[in-house]
Amino acid sequence: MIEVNGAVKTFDGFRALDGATITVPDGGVYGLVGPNGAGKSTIIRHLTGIYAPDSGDVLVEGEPVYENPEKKALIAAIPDDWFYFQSATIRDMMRFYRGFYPNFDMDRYEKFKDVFALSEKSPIRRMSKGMQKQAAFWLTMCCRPKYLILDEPVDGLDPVMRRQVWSLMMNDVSEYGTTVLVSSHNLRELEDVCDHVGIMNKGKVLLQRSLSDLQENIVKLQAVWKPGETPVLPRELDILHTSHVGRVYTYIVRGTAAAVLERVQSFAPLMAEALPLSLEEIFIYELGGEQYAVKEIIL
Amino acid sequence: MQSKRSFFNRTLFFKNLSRFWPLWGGLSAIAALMPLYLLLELLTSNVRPDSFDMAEGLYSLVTEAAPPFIFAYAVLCAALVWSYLCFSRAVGLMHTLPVDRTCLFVTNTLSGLTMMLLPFVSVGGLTCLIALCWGFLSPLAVLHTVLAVLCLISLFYGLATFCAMLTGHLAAIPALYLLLNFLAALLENLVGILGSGFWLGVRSMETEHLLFLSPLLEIKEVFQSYHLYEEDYWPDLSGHVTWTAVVRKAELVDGHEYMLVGLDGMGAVLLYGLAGIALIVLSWLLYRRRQSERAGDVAAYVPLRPVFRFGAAVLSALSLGILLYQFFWDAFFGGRLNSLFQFVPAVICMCLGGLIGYYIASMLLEKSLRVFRGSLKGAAVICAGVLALCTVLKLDPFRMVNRIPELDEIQTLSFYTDGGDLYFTPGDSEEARQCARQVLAIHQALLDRKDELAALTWDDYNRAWRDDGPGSRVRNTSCYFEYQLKNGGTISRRYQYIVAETRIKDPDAIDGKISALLNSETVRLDRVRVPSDGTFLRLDLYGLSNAELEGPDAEYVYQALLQDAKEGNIANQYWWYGDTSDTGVPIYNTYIEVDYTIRDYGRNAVEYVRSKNVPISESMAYTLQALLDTGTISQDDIHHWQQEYDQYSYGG
Repeated sequence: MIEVNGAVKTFDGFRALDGATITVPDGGVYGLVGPNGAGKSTIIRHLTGIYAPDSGDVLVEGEPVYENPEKKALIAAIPDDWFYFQSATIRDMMRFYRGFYPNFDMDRYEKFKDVFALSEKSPIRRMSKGMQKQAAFWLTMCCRPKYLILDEPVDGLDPVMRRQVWSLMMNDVSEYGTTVLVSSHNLRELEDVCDHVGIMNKGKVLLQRSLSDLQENIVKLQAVWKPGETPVLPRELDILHTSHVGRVYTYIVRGTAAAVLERVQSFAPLMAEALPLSLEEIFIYELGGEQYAVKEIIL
Repeated sequence: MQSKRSFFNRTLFFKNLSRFWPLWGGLSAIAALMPLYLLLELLTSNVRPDSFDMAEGLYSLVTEAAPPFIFAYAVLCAALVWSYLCFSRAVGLMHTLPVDRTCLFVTNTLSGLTMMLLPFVSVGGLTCLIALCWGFLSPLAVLHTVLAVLCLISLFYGLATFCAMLTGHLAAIPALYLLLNFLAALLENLVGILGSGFWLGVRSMETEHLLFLSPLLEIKEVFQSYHLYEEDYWPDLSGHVTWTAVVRKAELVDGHEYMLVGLDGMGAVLLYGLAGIALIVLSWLLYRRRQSERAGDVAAYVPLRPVFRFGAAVLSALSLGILLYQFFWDAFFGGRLNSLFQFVPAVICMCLGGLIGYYIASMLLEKSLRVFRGSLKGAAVICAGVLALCTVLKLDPFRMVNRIPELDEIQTLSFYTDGGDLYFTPGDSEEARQCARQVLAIHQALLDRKDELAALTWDDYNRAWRDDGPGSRVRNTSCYFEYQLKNGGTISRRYQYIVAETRIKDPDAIDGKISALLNSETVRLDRVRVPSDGTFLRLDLYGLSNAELEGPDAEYVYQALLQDAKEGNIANQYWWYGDTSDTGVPIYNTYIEVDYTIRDYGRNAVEYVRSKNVPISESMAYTLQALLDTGTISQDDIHHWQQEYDQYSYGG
């Protein structure tokens, strides 16, 4: 299990992590989402042992990751700016990784030659961004990590390759119980693969739940009222957002679909319907309360 | 399988070597050309070196070529192996790897040291192999050389590694390395300049005992090879001979038989080697605490930021500030003859210099040009510091200006001025003691007029020279005093003073006091006499007549010279003009050179030939008669000299 408890990290007075807390259960796929500068990459650098927190704990299997080779051997990471040596080829980097990661799987390396279709003898620096990303996946997956930590992993990959690498990762999750922590802005994709989600903003984790909990606890309600009757809904309904098109009103309300619908029915709408929210919508409306709503700009 | 706790990672070690092979490989290949040249020479010529030649060559290489080479190569190797600490992507990879900082440090350090050693292994290994095959191997010299090279590598690589730990910017590593290597010497010079600007007579701070903090300079100074030429010399040097390859060479070289060749200063090199190890340990401790996010920062540790900021301000105030003063004040508003600063302009320029350094350092630290907001407090601290420093210097709490040692404190003293370099040991004789008293009186006379000397400007000198008219007898001269004290200390002072012929006969004037000393009997004799530690060799006559005298004739003429000197027959000196007479006695354009030998029991234990030039004047009756008696010259020669003198009025 990965645990971050009240981690604080300050860079020259800027608080990049401000008491962040996350818990990634074993065998799960945890999506870390948040706006730019929320602290996602900083928390990932803590989890890979690059940074030490100013205070708080960053633990893997109950032990701090920083300066802990045994735990770091269980973790493999693909940062958003993967580093390779200047003139290195994939084969050179494979030898490098193999010298450090005790579980490096050469059979898998050979098998992945067909999956990624990259020249292992060409310098990586000559490859496109997407190809470099594929190379990073190739090598990282061969480390056979127990914990896979990915920062914007599919950024730059074409749709086919995106599906391919997600498929490989999901296979490891189901077959070997690999725990994946992934940070991404592509919420559509995360929605398909994550079972847990944490939303970060300004160095804090605003909420973290299983995706199903999250989706059950917030609802999009569409209601049509009688002409000239637009009731003021009661305060106990935690409405995050209201909009309307003609006579169709849309409310984003915190709560379960059944409870919200029951409460609204008491105002006798002509029609009322509760719809599930996408992760993207949850992200937008949750952060709306954090002064991060989409602003209406008049040009 | 990786062991759980490892101090070394083979993969990283070989990765470093393979990444940077063009550097060490290229240098090793170039280094291998030396033994190749030696091999070709051995194969194609009749030259057959022996073990003495090998020892001599190795010692020469390790003392002269190795220190500057290792100095430059060390920072290159350290900067390469630690370069990942300067780039966030690279440091991200290295610190994600499942090894701890100690393992990374040990592996990187060892790979850097290996890169440093490989060129030496290449040249040394091949040379030893050739020497072994041809039978001229000197195992002791090889051992000494290997030890010295290891110590030098340890020192400079340790220092370069330490610099790499202090900064997170690749360009700052060599800059810091250079600064740390020469900081002591630099500060010594800057403080000397500052002292000379505030204290009349002070030209340096005599702080050479701090030179050891500038290792390259100290090594150049103390680490040298030496030869002992003759067997009867070297028993006297038993105290020096510690690191000596005792090699006898049968063949005579320059009339001497080489007996020994050795290394001087190996003790210091060994200490430096240990200091290098200490620096590596210190670097390891720093690396363990280093934050990865400091990649790209000039200062890798937060506490270093004010040190860097204010350190740059201090250095800049002392260097740029003084430069600004000299360029923009001294040059336009009347420079002082004794290089003294004018208080207010100097403070303003040093504040300006300090602030420039402070803001440049701040810009480098913040990686931004916008560093002025909120910096007022720091700027005020710098200005207050400069003002306080200058005020303290001006008040002279250490009595730097007025300090003249008592006669009994002095071991030796030197007095240098135009036309006379005098050296006395007051304890040697009453004459030397009397001369020392005269030197102290001159020093005191200068200090009695210190306000006048301090205010003298170049304009004053130019005016005095111009007012004296054509053929002016006004000169700007320098008086330098150096006292070696019995307690081991040194006091040296230098004053610029305007001398005039009109004051030379005045016994109360400084000019008269100096003239009296230079023409006293002791000094006159010293202008002729062979020093007590020298051996008379021969006399040479130069000028309108030329001759060389040796044996009894030379001794006879030399005694006549001494008699002339004792009786005051040799010409007095217009001391700022050199060898000319102020007595109206014609000085012929001919000189007697008194040659003598001095044995140097120092590092190289050689015998030097020294000489003294004595111009022949008409008043030197004993010498002229002795030259006639020995048949060196004739009356016609003297007549010819007189004609020449009348024609050119030499010395008139």
